[in-house]
Amino acid sequence: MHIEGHRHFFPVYCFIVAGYAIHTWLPMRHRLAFFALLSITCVLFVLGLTNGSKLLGIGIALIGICYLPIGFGMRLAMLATTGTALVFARVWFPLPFWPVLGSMFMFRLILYVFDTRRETLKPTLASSMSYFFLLPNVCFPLFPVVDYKTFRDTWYDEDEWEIYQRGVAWIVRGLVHLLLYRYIKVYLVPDTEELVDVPHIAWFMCMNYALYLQVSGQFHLITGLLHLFGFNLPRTHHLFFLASSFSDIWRRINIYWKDFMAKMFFYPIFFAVRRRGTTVGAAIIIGVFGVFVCTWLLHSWQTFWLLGRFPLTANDAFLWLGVGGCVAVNAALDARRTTNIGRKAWLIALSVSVRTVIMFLLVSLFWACWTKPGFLYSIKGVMNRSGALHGLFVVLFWIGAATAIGAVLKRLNDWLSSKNLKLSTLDFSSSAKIHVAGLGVVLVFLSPWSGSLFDADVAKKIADFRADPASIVDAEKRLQGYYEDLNMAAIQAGPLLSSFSPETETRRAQAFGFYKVSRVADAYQGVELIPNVKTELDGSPFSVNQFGMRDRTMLTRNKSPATIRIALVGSSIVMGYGVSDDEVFSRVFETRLNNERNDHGHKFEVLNFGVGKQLAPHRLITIQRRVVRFEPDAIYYFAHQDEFKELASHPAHLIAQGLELPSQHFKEIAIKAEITRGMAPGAIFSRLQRYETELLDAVYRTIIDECRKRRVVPVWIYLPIPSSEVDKTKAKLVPIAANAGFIVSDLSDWAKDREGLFPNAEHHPNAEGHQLIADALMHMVQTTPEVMGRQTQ
Amino acid sequence: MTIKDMQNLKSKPATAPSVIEIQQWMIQHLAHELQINPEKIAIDQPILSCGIDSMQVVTFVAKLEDWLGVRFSSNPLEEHSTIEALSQHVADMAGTRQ
Repeated sequence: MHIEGHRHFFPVYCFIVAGYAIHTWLPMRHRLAFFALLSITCVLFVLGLTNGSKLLGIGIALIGICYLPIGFGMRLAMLATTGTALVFARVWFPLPFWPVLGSMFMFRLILYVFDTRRETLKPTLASSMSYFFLLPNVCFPLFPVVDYKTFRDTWYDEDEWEIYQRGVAWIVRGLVHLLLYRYIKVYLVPDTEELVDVPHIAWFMCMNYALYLQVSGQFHLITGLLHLFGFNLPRTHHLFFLASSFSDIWRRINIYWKDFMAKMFFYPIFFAVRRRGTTVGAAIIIGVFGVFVCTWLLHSWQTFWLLGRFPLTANDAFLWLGVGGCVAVNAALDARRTTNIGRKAWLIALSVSVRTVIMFLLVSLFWACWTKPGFLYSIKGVMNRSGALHGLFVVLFWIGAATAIGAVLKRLNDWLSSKNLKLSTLDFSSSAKIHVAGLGVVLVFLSPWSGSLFDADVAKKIADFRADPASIVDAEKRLQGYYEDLNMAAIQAGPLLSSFSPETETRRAQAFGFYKVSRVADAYQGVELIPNVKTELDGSPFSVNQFGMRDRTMLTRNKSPATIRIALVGSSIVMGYGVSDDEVFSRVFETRLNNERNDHGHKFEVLNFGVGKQLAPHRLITIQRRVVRFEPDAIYYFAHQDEFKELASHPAHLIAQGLELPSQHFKEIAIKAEITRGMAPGAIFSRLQRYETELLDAVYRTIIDECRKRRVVPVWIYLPIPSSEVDKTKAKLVPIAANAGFIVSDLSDWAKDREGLFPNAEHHPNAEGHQLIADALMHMVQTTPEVMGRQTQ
Repeated sequence: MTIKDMQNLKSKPATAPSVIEIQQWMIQHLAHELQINPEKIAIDQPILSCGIDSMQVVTFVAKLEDWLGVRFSSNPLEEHSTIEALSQHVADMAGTRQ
């Protein structure tokens, strides 16, 4: 089963279990050093010798600075200088180990320096190495901010078997959270197209908030694993769905972060402000607000190390500072609140329940706004439709029911406590039996052969559930939230781990790679390349110019008089994923045109407008918005076997959001499909799905219209990815392209049956493949001279 | 704890209190803050392990500052995590100040 499979968790888990067995056998005096050694070995095991050594080298250098026999101020200055250099290195040298290195040091170095600043005796090397290279961290870039003092002081501070058993319980709890997350992500979170009324919006908010189970699951898993090595760390989360105030949610969710903020920012700000004579209430408000400003900035700091960008958006600022204000005022009020003495027990229970339900709704709203920017805007659009309030009373009923049930449960709990009738904690033996049995049931249920115990439908559902939802999300292009984005920071495995599953590893690396060079654009464009990015993907230089094209920076929009411009529009294959800048077929084709053809002294420019994850409707927009501004003489539109994808969903999204359709051709289809204003997005989509051929025709005809307006020669090129399956798509596509008005060119045999053009059996050709595509294009221009544009005729 | 007890806790001592008096004050205040029996608080137990959160910490320390007429430059619980250690430190501060 693929639990956190994209993090290589299972091999590392086996590594940890083997290490645990040895660890428990060792005498106590050797255990910490062994754990440090195990952690370092795991870094090399996961990242490989090259990347692992680089990470360890940088990490050891940082630790080494902390041990230098110089004053604290000097050490701090050296760390700051080194840190600044690493920030620039992160930007300029996009190497695969940065997320892991950042995760290990970006916060823990601050805590370590703070906690050891006054100690005369330096921590042992084993302690420091263990703390920074913490064993599971290499798998989990999103990692709890473990406090150094707590890490050191809780090591074997209780009976070791109690610690181990607590660890097992937390591992099980973490796995349950992750399985719940998986189920919710795949089956329960509605698509944005389904948010048509209040009940769907309410359901979305609740389920979206519930996705936080991924973080709590990972953190329980991580701290549970650390328990196996004697680190009796405190819990990271505590019943956060049951928080009853802003202060309460802050205390329950990601407790390590809260403690980190309190230690590093809240207390220093509070006491600094108090020394100036401020009242306690005002000092609390200022301190808490300061914490949330730092939380906002440090979340971006974390994103920088894990994903390579430092986002500072108005949306995030507004949300964090807004929440900070609420928590600050709540905290100040809590400081002055009297006790509940004299209030009736039922009133207290009802009050707590009401506040808990309200907090759940408010946090769900905050979470939706933070993880899905533009959520409020889309809700506003939904609420303007007729029928949006259908089901409001159902929602209110369930809120009331939840409040009533909560009050009853709270009262019951208080009554049991007053009678000392609470459930006693399980003893060691019972706890072990229950957790191992539960884990066994889960493993049996989800193992590959369990499908034989059920009928085909159930077996398929179980098989789908076993798959890693990260791949499902990729495949369905679903939007991710903040923590899910961070969790997509891929761990690029070294050669040993990669050999276990090369195809999966390639797909992960590709998803991560494309994420580095692209960003979400508007509803029309879908995704775009980030201008002025210079990086490496799969070890190959990848540059994006100032226009957001994978092309040279020296390009200008204005074309010089003796130049023939050919614009290439297409997918990630046209963009050249997997090859370096000068190996992309657009560059090769241009060089050959200039070297081998002599067209009345004309010079050739081939412009690359290829973008990954864009399909036919997006390419139309690219042509309308960008390509035409470069005054091309010809547009070469590349199509593959996936040309029919997203033809209905793209215009459906536009209509649902009240946006203008790209051309009259699309409007005519919308009229034909009897789509009306106010129709639910799902209904729009299902009606448009019946007109996929017409929609593709609309895309092509709109492109032809744009070309005719500007006397640009439109060329449609079929460039399929070689496959053993029979290609039925070409027969459907060619007539549509020809009838629309394209000059049609079929390059189906471009690969000439050569083998080895697609590394790791995926669909991006290597450098040799790009050469062959360029060859095919050269042949095309020789046999069909009209594709070169009117200047050559 | 009665209202009179709370009022007694709030009033400033006439002279620098002894370590024992400071410890008693701390125990009473912590018990009130955490709504628990004072007998459950041990003076050699880290204060933060009593289940106190950061807001309660600063409220507790602020009240201690006001009672003794001192001001801490940083969180005193960081260096003096138990009632025993903190009371000794505070007694030294209050004694020195006087």
